[in-house]
Amino acid sequence: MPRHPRLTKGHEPPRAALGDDRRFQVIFEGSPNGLVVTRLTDGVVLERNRHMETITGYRNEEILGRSPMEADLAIWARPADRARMVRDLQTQGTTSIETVLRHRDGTLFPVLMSSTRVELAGEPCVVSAIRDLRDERRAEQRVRDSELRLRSLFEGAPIAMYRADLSGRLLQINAAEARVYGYDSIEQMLQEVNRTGVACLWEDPRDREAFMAEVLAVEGHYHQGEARLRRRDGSSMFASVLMMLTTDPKTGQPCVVGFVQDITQRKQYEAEIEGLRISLANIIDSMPAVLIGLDDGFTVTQWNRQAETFSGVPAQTALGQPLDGLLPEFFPSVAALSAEVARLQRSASLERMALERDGEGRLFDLMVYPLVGKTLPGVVVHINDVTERAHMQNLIIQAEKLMSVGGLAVGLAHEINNPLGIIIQAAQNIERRLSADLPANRQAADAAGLDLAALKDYYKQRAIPQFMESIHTSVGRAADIVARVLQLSRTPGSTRVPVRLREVVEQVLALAANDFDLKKRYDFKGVEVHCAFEPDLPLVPMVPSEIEHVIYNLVKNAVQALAANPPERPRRLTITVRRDPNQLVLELQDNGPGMGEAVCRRIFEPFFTTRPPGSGSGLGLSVAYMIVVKNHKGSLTVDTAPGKGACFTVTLPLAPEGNND
Amino acid sequence: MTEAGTVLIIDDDLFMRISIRAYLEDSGLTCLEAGDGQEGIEAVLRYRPDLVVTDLRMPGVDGFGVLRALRALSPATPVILLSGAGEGAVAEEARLQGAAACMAKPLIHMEQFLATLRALLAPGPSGGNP
Repeated sequence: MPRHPRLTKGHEPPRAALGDDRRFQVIFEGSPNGLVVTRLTDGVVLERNRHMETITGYRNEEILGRSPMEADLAIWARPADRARMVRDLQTQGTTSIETVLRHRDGTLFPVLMSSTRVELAGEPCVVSAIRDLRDERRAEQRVRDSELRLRSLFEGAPIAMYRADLSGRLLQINAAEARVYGYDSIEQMLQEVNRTGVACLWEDPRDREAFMAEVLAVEGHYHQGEARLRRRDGSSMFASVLMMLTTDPKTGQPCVVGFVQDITQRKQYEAEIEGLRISLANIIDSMPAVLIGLDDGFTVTQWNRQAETFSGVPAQTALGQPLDGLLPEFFPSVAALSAEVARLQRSASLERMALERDGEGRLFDLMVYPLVGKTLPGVVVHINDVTERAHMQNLIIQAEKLMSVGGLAVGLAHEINNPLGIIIQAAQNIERRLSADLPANRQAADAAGLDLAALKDYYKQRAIPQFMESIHTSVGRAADIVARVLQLSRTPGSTRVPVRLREVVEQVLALAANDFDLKKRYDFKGVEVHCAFEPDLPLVPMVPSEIEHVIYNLVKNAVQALAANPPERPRRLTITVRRDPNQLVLELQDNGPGMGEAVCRRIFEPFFTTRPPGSGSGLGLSVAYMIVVKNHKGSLTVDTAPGKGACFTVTLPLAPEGNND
Repeated sequence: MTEAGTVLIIDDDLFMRISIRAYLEDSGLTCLEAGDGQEGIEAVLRYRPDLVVTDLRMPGVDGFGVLRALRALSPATPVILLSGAGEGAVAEEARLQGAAACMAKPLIHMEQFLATLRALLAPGPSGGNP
């Protein structure tokens, strides 16, 4: 077989055929396709570019000058295709066929072969461009695969999807879409909805219009929102809808792709959670105690309404602030308790912590407890103002103390009154038997040779009557004390009658003015007494003698206290009576020396007195207390401080329980 | 003084009985004594005194017990109750139960006590035997 000039490097191409145009060579070699020049008649390869080596696996040296039809080459897997090509070229001059070639490694592969008939050196030749179709086929397969995958994704996706044209006709939906709207099948939904259009799936068509306006504004931009949609059975559902404007690949028309998710249940949960949140907030806010949540750096995370009232700082200001800036007086205790909480992993508390607030000493219960559960580390601080409660407890303890004294008094009175009786009766018997009045005395004296008149003189000389008198007086005083102690236990037996409290006060003041003791020892006349009675005071039910006793004791107590004022300080007692809704309030305010807490706490205790012996039994105020509190269901309190005088307050209910009047 | 009448004194305290008895006898009255309520009731039934003075607080049958028994057994005999616990509620209760009088111990003024007794012993509408 004759060798033909070649176009490869190192071999100059024949001048007559190709000339020495280097540019041609660059194009020939640089083509992305395989290029081959063959003789038309026998297919002998005259020229080949490098790319052909890649396509066929044969190096150019092995092929040039040979026919690919040769048995050991057999590059044409379908030799009939070459025959057809030759035929075509003979009639048309150019042709393009798809055929299958055999690679050197034996694999078959599809190629597209475009050929043109040319004359080279007077010989009919063929220039063919060969494109390996394997990559294209693979790409096509990939596209087909991904389409398939997309379709199965679309159809099998658990989220409802649809495509609709702009007129509102459903083009395509998936099973989830049919399901979410309550249709039995895709076909059923398409058929039924497309009778009227997708607007029938919306509770409020205006929602859809609003969505569409957003969607149509920008192609490819999706719009998401929530809307109420309507199921096939007419029921309503909350849905999250995502819509996007796109182009139908088949028709090239704009269409809408949408995703629908039924969030009715989620909405219900959200509503429940919101309800729970609100009710929790209400509970926390309604707590009568201050509740403060703190993180582990003492920054406020919760601040209930009581905390707002207590601190004067609104929640929105307090949240996120450190506690020491908001409640500095509590901070040291809270910090100490928090350390304990962190250490022990349980709550820690302080009871009746005394703090000065707004210039007033108050008592607080402070409790710090850890936040448990899946929350951030932190504590809850619980502050309770127990000042009033502690005060009440003290009053109750005091009342109970008095009650028990009352019970004791009955037994005591019996035991003491008997010997007192014996003493006084014996004394009277002695006196009587020393007198000359009784015939029995005279007889006995005669028999003993005693002159009773002389005996009487003797007794006088030796002051015996004086001693008898002292027995009388002392027994009388002891009996008086016992009688007063007994008053502590007196059950309210006497009938209460409606009385003008003002009249009782005035009566007592008149009585006090005539009291010898008050007049002489305490200069009652030198006390300025001011009375202020609210006009039109109602009658109040009481045992008048008892309340008289109470007021008398309070006036006496005040006058005695005022005696301690220095001479230059005027002594003043102000008595007021006013009406509270359900009770009358009587106040006796003096400008005396006042009392310290220690005295104040015990002032209603029986036998407690600060006066020198002989000034009083120490029972006046306890009896007054029992009369007011126990017998009249009222209250008796004192408000005092050293140097501030004392104010005793009596309240008497206007309609007492068990009123039998 | 035309003294008449027998008084039964019921009290668990010997000295109390002695001192009252001395005063009453000095005043011309005849006295009987009983150391407790039960003894007192028996003494009334046996000796038929004109008047009974009884202590309130006694072991066993107390003053009210005596009062109740005598109201049933000897309704004509006046009973004076001596109470160591003042008057007040006790006095009210005593009157309700039919006591002729209720007086508080100690008897600081024995003349008053005597006057009360005499008033009850005097024949008339306010007391005494019919």
